[in-house]
Amino acid sequence: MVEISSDVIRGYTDTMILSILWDEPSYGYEISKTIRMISDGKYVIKETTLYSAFSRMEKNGYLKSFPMEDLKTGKKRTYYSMTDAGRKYYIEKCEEWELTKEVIELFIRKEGV
Amino acid sequence: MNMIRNYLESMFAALPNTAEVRRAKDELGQMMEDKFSELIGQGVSENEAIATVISEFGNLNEIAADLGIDETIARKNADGRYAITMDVAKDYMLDINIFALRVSLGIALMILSPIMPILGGNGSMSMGLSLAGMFMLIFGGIFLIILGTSHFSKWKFIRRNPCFMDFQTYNYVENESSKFNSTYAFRLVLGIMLNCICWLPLVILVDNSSLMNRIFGSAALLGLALLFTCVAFGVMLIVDSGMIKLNYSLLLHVNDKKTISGSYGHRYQNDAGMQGGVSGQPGQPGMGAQAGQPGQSSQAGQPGQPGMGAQAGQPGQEPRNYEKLDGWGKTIVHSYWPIVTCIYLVYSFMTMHWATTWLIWPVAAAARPFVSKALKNK
Repeated sequence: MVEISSDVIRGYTDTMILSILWDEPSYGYEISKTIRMISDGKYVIKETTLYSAFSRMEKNGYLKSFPMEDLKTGKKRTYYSMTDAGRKYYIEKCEEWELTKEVIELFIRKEGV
Repeated sequence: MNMIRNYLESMFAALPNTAEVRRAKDELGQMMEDKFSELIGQGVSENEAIATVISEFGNLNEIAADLGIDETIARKNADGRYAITMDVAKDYMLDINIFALRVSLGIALMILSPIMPILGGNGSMSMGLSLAGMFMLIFGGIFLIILGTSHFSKWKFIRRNPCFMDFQTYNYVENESSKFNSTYAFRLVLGIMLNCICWLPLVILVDNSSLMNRIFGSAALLGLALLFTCVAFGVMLIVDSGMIKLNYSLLLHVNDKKTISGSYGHRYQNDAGMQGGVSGQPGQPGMGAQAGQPGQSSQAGQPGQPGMGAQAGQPGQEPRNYEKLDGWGKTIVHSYWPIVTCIYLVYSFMTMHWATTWLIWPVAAAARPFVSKALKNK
């Protein structure tokens, strides 16, 4: 079965995470679960990949982290929320992807492979 | 749950105990526990849940950069060697310059310190004040040396661990190192000259002391103060450029025969010679081609390099590897010039024969290759 190459997707984990955080803050596992759900199980993000993205984006000022109790279980967790810079970055990444997709698509033979 | 905690602990066991590392561990632990609880909640068996969580954990290398573990230090690659990339090499060379400047300035301040009581000797300063000034200079010097050394200690790994450098970086470092050669020669000569002529102001001033005494108070004291200034500045120039030179050559040594990349290190240069446009020398087997090639030419005849003095111009000889030296031999070879400087200063001050003691420099430079050779053969 074809699997997603981690090299390719690494450039877009930020996009996935920011897209999930666009509406409301969330925490590590919930984000990981949402990614799996949205991708219909085709992409399972590794914990280290996720944390690496959090820490990088927080350093760049795209994310803010704060401790909060989970409303359902009452467990204390680190929540991440998006900053304005993060929103700007997300929009840029989306535009970048549109272009990338357009270019790569030109090289994908659909017939007569 | 315990299994997961243990797994995480073992993954983090070798990492430094910093706030960033602890935070990463907590966060990763939280995510793993959440995943585990949910799997158990779905009716998955505990073993299966653990297996899933661990298999989806990922690789800690991915977050090494974010943890600040390899922020300044080179990344360790699969076979346990540190990669000296272009950025790392540039950082290292910048730090060498800061390190050498701090240490040499520290030594200079310490040499300068007697100036205070000397200048105070003509009555312009109280004894207490001049002594305070002297100690301030000494402590300032010590502070600078400690500051420089501790700042530079993060680079110890280059000397202690196997490293490798890519071709491009090697060429860059080699180029920078040869560019430094003329500066080095100039500073070394100027430093030695300053040490040679440091007694001159004293002699001149004492000769014309009746005139000078009227202008400066005491000519002898001024002459003595100038003597210390010359020595301090001269030693500073020698130590500064010597340290930079030594550490550049250390960096150029990281590729050794144990690496694949070692083939373009300056010891085994056949490949580099050909890639660099200098045709290999046919008819000379193996390492025979090393003399006279780019990596080597810069080093010929330069004193101040550990274990290399005798190497240039001896084609075919096994390059000396000063890592093979043990204990004392290594220390002496590594700090040859500082030791010579110490002997020079102590002996000169004890005998006050400044007119002749400078001879130690040419003698030391000439003896250098033999000293390292003798120590190695032992």
